[in-house]
Amino acid sequence: MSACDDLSDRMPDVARGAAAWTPAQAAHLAACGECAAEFALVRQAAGLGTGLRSGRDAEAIASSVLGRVREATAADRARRARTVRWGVAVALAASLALVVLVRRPPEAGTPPVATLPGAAPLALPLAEAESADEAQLEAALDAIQGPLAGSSTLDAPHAGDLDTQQLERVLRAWEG
Amino acid sequence: MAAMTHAEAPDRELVSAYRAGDERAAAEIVRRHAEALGRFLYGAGAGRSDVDDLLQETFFRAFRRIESWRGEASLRSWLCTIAANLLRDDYRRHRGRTVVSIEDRDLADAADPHEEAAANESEERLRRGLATLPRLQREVFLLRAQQGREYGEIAEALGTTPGAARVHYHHAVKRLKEYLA
Repeated sequence: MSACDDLSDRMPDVARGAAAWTPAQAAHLAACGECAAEFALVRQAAGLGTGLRSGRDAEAIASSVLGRVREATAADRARRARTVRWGVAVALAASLALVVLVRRPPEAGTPPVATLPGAAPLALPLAEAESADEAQLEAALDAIQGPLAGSSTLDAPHAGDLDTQQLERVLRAWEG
Repeated sequence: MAAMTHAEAPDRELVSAYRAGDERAAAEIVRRHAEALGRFLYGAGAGRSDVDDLLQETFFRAFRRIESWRGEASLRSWLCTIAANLLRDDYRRHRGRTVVSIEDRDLADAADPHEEAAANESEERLRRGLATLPRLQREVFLLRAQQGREYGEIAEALGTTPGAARVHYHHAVKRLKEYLA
């Protein structure tokens, strides 16, 4: 650090009377025009506004400020309480609306759910199939396969079951 | 706080006491910092007649959000940054009304009115020079040269680094020396 930097760093403390120059620093200050000009500036800045006379003393300022802070804090509390009351009212209204919607019976015009004729109702919801044991799964599969078994095209008669006349009709139909 | 009077307590304890509801601690904070804060506002461009109002507003804002002072910067520096922000808002609203000319000022009583007028004139020139600086340079210069704060503390208060604060300070010194030459 140069002598000028060293002096510059100490200037605010010396200007406010919180420190003093060493003899070497004082000698540098006397010889260096740049440092002398900077110190004059810092000294002037340190004393800037010392002649200001406040119209009110600190007690009066504190009393006025704290009164305003109390009022503002009370206003904040009132505003917060109003916000909470509104929030609670809105939450209650929303809950009530939800309860009414959930418990409302189905409308008269709602079409019935289509079911396969003869199908047994599933005793097991599919979402719960993963946790079902083997017997429950088999029961569920039976319920699904039961109505489909009667309508399978795999049960159509084989060619060996046809008599001669029926076979000839089939052949004529294929040959055009 | 019970063991020592408010006047002896450090700022941190006064703030804790105020947070706990002790309003006498707040009065001590005002008593301790009002004068320096008024000088800071004046140096930063506040008109003499506006200083009291700005001072009150600064303390009002400070006490309203005292929770946000966590003690990284000193309370004085923190108050100065609130004051500087307030002054900037005020300046924006009134477009520079806050800086008053020397003719508008009430001169303090003095044994030698000519000497006092000369001192006031050089002070006014410095204020005008400060008004030409960018905001950060002006605030760093005042916190360092007028308030005697260290670069680390200034950096905490203004949200910059100590190195950058030092650079701002030296730029401000250079420009002010040129302005006042």
